[in-house]
Amino acid sequence: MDLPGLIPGNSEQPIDVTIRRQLVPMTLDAAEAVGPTWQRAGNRFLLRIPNIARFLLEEGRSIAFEAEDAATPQDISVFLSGSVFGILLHQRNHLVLHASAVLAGGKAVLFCGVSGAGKSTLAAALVERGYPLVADDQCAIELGEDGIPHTHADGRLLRLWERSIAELGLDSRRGDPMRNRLRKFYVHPATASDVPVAVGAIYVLGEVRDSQQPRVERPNVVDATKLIAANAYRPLLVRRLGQREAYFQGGAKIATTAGIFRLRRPLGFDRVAATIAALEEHWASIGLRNGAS
Amino acid sequence: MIHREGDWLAARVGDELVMMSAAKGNYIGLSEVGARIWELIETPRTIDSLCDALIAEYEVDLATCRTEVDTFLATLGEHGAVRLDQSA
Repeated sequence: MDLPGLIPGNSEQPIDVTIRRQLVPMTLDAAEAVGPTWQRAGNRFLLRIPNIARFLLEEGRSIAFEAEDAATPQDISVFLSGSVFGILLHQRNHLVLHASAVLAGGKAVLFCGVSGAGKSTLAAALVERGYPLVADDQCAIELGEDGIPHTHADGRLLRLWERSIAELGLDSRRGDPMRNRLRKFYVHPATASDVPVAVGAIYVLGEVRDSQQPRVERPNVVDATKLIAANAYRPLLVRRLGQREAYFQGGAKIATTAGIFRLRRPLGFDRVAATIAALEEHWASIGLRNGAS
Repeated sequence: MIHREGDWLAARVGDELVMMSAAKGNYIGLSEVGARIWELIETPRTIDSLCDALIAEYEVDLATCRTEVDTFLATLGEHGAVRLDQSA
């Protein structure tokens, strides 16, 4: 394909997402649901970030964008790699959690929490100890035909993503934090990036006072199931896309097969080692082999 | 008679049942016995008939069963998950 702005195919890997600059309408015909910044019509989702860009996402496969006013490429790429990418994964009917994940005992262990909860910091500390990174900030889970939840480390997607941004000329600034974030995926591709990894456990991050020891708690089944929807990357989108049932069924399935826990730990870098020790102890107790492979 | 009410989705987690109201999005959880009761009232039945079925399956006397079933059904009623009509 040789359309202007279209990302060329890669001979090694199938194209997973296409991103292109093109005219994007202000409104969608036959919109079924409308909010202040978005509209949805079937499998089409229009997001407008005023003075930045309009983004049109179709069927979880393509993103078209049109810049508004004097938006810089960096402005646009921040939204592309954050919200827009999250919406795209939501559109694919994956359970998209606001989570970072590492590989432990051959399974994915996810850490959920709002921005600033310390997901990335904890994941980075675990990577330092030799646990491979699976996902940072957004983690998509799919229930296979066997009903077992798997996560898509999907290095393909992320590598494509970085390449896309470069090819669209959106990476004009070196040292741009978002660009660095994307590059992190590139230098730490998950070991099993082409193979879905079974989910071993999900921890929702919480805090205890600094004097207290980190601890893992198992919530009751209702709270555990609820935590999945509550930790969606964009909880409102779950409603807008009519996916509440999928998060409910997925949450119950994950609670059954993997286990959903609360990890309460003291913040502060000097306490990270204690948190990791508590996690490794917990992994041993739930059958995730203690060790980084 | 006891009737199920509302548009509830149910999913098993181990022995327990988690239910979500499709309309309202609120969740409730049922214990193993609660989950069995939910199954038993899939078609409307009387409290007496429900208790008979439970006594046959679990080691419980009629008076205890009746008290606990009444409490359980009242709780489900508060969540809008069952409706009891007069002929019960």
